[in-house]
Amino acid sequence: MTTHHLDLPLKADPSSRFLPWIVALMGYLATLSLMIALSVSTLIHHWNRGFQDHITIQVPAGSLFEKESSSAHTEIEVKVRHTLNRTAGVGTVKILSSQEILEILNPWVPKESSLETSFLPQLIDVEIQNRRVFSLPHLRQALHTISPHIVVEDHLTWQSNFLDLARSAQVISFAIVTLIILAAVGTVAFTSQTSLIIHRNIIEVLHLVGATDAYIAKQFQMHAFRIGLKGSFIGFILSGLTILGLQFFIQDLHIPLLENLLSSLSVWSITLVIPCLITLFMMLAAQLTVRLSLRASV
Amino acid sequence: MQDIPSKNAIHFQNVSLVFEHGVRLFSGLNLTIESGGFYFLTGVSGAGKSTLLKMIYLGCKQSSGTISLFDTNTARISFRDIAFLRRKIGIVFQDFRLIPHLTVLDNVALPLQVRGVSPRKAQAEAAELLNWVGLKDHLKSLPHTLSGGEQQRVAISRAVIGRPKLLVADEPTGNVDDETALKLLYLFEEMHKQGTTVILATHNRNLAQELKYPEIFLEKGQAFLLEPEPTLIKEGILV
Repeated sequence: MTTHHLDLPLKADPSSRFLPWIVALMGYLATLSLMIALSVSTLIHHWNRGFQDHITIQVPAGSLFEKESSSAHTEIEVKVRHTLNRTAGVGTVKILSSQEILEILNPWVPKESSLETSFLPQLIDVEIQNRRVFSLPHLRQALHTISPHIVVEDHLTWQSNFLDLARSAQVISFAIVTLIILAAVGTVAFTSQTSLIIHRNIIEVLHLVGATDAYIAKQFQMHAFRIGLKGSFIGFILSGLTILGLQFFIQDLHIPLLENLLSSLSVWSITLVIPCLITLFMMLAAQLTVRLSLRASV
Repeated sequence: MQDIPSKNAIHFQNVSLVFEHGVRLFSGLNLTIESGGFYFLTGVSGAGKSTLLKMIYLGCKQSSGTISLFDTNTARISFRDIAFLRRKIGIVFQDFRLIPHLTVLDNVALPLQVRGVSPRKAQAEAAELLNWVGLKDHLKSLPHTLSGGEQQRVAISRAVIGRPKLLVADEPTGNVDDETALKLLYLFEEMHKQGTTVILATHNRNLAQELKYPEIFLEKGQAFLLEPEPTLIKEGILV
């Protein structure tokens, strides 16, 4: 059924003036929340993939230990390497150069500073090819016999706590999106009921000239569609501008979460779902509210 | 709902209406109106003319008894079918009840649009009808800019545009001068000649007697059918 205009003057309702801005605010918050949730999700995926396959071995700097000379330290390195090569499940073994270690330390120790590299521990990045056959306790024990100062860090042990935190943030973000959509639904249901009361005389005339409840509900649905689309897209654009603004002001900080947000086209595409979802739920809420209210009023 | 010819347009059987505050308007009312007839509905002010019309167009539910429209028991039809049944009825309200923010053209096109007719076609038909009732210069006007007589013609145009099987009008000549009243009655007669059952509620019994059409006279919660000559035939038709 096509109508070129609304038989009900819903545009003139007081709610039509403020509702698009409320929806814009909802769209803004929901889009930001979803962006955060998706970025956290991307980071979790990245960390999972990056950390699951690696462990790091720290061989303390030789000069720190009185009993161990420089040659002894080199000997320890050779033994460590040999042990790693014999350990089941271990793949490539890479001893990080001083330059690479300094790059890792860059956020805390600027490159320009003259840090004495001989004080730094030797870091060995070990790729675990097969977790099933690899035994961390056995490796720890073997390395302990070489030197009790060797530290083995399996990222999985501390990563799980960090992942729990990230997942909690993700769940909270999705919960916020859900709550915002529910709030939009509630707002539309309330304003639709108010409009039904305001326009009850016209609705009665529409019924008496043969309009079905579906015809009347469709008018409310179209109105909700216009408001939902307008408001939620304003919110979406504002949230995009907010992220761009943040990037502009803190671009030197290299915050991985923000970098992910801005660089990922898929994150931007997925967040487009927010205005569509808000509009869709608003339409459904209007349709359902009007139909139920009209049925109840018979 | 099948659109098959029905013998009776309206059939009231033992219908009573008691308002919420306890006042009884109709009590055991029986009335049968055959399809294709032209009737005047008369009675003193407060006799229940408007309420009876309201019950006919399903704007008000009886307290007890049975109301059938076009051989369909109105108590046994679904909400959706009520809308379809109303499409067979054209209603002219005493206070016109035009939709204030819609133009004259849109008001008249409305019954067609709710039936799913395209806006373009509905407006073309509405424009033709408004031209016929002398309102071609007011197509884009809003109702409040028209005189009472012009608004009445818009209301009648809206009632007849869907070619209803039953046309009910509540005091259609009450707000217009004699000349306009005659034109309106001519329009109703034209509808009647095309097979539409017409019921005109009026407080003016002389009008009914002059035009020689049967009169349904309401008194003390009962309906009396009077032939053109002021002779009481019988109380109700089926009593």
